[in-house]
Amino acid sequence: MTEVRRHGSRARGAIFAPLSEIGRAGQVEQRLTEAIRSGVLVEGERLPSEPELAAMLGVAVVTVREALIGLRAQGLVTTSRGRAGGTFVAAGAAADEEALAQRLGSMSRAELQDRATQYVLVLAGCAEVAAERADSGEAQSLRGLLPTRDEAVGVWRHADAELWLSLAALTQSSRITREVVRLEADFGMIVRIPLSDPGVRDRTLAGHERLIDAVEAGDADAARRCARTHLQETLDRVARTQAEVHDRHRKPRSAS
Amino acid sequence: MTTTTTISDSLARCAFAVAAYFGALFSSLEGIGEKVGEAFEHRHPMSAATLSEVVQPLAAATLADHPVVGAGFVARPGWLADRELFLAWWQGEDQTLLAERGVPLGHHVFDYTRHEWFQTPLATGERHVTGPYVDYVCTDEYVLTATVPVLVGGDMAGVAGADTRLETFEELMREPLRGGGDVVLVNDHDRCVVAADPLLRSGQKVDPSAYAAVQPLPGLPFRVLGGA
Repeated sequence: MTEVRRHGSRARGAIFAPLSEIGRAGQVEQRLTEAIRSGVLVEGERLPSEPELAAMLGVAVVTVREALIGLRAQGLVTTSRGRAGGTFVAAGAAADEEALAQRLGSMSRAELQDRATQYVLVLAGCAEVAAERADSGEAQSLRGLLPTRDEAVGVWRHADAELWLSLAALTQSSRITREVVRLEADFGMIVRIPLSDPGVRDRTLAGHERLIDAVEAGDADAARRCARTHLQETLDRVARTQAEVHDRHRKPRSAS
Repeated sequence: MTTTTTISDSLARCAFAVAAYFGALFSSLEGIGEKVGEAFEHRHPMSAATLSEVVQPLAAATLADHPVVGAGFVARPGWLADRELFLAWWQGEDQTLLAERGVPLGHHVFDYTRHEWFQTPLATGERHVTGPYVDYVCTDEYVLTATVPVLVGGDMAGVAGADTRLETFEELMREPLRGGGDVVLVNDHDRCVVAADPLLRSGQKVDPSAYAAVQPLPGLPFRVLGGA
């Protein structure tokens, strides 16, 4: 039912899925740390209450409490008391650009090319099928996901992931949608590195508008072309950034 | 003449099965709505935890009584003391509580209130079935979501609902659709829900004007078409 969160949504589902073995505070802390660093949980967002987290993760409340103490110590969350109180994702907790560059630098060029090919093909295919299957109301609701120019880069990254996930859902294939959720959780952070550049954000907005126009017009070929062109351009930027990072470190580490 | 009779029989058989399934499901959902409404009359605004206590046994009963994968109550913003958006919704074999899953605060795109399953019952005051659609937020499944508006003193407090996987519904409809020729169940967006024709995909757009026979389903956003 709910469409409620977006990138957020799917990736979030994975975060809050019950832990397979008896969860320990360390595991809870690590999972939430990754979610905050990667921007799946956004700055200022309220975490579920301790009992809710315990229920979602399938661990004891005391374990959650211990994990939250760890997160506070890392400066990733803040807790306030009172009626509007709760635990919130701290400002500046998301991975900074340097951390993202490091992650990109740890990948080999071959791995990046491999992942980029998969990402582009799957999402261009989604755009094509979504254009055939969406009605105008659904195309309109995609437009509602577009961020405005002056929004922060974190909001942009979040909204961008949400748009591709929504497009995947419009294929009406739950398997394809789950595949895209997996790709986003795995590779989304890397694809969205270039959005730190305001010029790229403008181009992205224009590209998304063209894509949504094509979906709305039911023009499957145009939708595929728009998606492919935009994603290829984006991933070319990522490849250039990776080369710069590798140059800076001289000795690129191969992906393990 | 014979052909016409056969078509109308097929239509009626399909319509009856759909009405029977959703009729039973909606009466469970009305039950959730009634209890939630009573609780709000005593305590308004209510906390998310109190709401969860009220809804949990009712959602569990709905999950036990019907072949659904999730059920519960979703609050309209402003009705809970401590949450803007909240899903008192349980799903899956382990009946996980969704709560605020996927509902980050502070950004409109995460707001479930824009979704058809939430918006339509609140706008029309009527029960509604949304889908089939891929629910990538909660179940990751291709589902039909049944929702009813929950009224408290004439005000809409939210919706009570349940998700049925399309696969499950297709299974329930297999017998009623057997030998149905071109009989197809369409939703209010003229999309195929299930069809006798194996080549007509669920979710596919259908042109109703191509069909001679139409059987409406009173109180449901569906029609059965046949006689193309």
